[in-house]
Amino acid sequence: MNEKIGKTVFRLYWAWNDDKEERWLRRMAQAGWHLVRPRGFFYRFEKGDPADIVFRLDYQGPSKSDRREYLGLFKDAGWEHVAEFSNWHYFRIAAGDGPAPEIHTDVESRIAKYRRLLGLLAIIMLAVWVPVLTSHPEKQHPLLFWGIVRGLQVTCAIFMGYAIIRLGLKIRRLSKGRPERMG
Amino acid sequence: MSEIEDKARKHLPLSEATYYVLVSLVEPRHGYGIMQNVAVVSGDRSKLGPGTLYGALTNLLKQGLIIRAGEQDLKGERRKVYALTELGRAVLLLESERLERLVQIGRDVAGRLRAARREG
Repeated sequence: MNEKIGKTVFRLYWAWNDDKEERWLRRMAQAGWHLVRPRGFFYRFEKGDPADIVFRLDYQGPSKSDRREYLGLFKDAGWEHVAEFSNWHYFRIAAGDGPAPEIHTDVESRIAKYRRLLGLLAIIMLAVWVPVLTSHPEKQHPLLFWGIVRGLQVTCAIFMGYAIIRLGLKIRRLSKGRPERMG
Repeated sequence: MSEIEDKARKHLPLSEATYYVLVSLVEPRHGYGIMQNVAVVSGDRSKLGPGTLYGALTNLLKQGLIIRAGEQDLKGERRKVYALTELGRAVLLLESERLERLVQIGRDVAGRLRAARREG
């Protein structure tokens, strides 16, 4: 019996850099490491034959009632659904000749994808900022404790703000292209 | 008729992807059928990716330009079939007429430019 050789790789990717992540997954597959499942910043790979495989990431909002319809479209178009992680869907397809296959073939739907993500970040942002502005941990807890809590809250809030700005810039850059043209 | 035309006019102009989807649904089709049809009518010049198609279908359903019209078998799996609504037909007709007018103008100007180039 040959047991599958696997490895887990830690890699930090920002949500607005999903195209970089796609290229990295392709390079890994070319080297014979095939993605099994992504878990946050931990990617599980299995060793296999090197193959030129294109990866594409799609972001969908939570609670899809038409999930079967969604996945069916990709399957019929030849894409394999590799994994799903917190509303991110990982698809792959053999590269073939010519330009790398795309799941989004116009700028509009690419922008819509980042807008959905932006919506999620905005909700998290609110969830982070509201307690920062309304809670008064100093009234109940010793100084050191509330200092740490406050520090974490503010760090998180600043980070979310940064993420939202980066995503906003990405959307702006995309919309300066030609939204009407397809293909 | 004019009431539905007024409603339809608000959807113009359509994006290329949306137009291709509506054109494909002159006959009811499932998603894969739409993708194939786009490749055929565009002579393989345009490709409709599943992510873009899914977004377009979702929007068109929400706007009431298309509806789900039963299911069809595709390689042993059930697939939803989509069809134009009355409003969808009106939008497609209006947009096609708008494009027709543009093409007419394009033909005229291209003809004049070519003639001018020949004369040096």
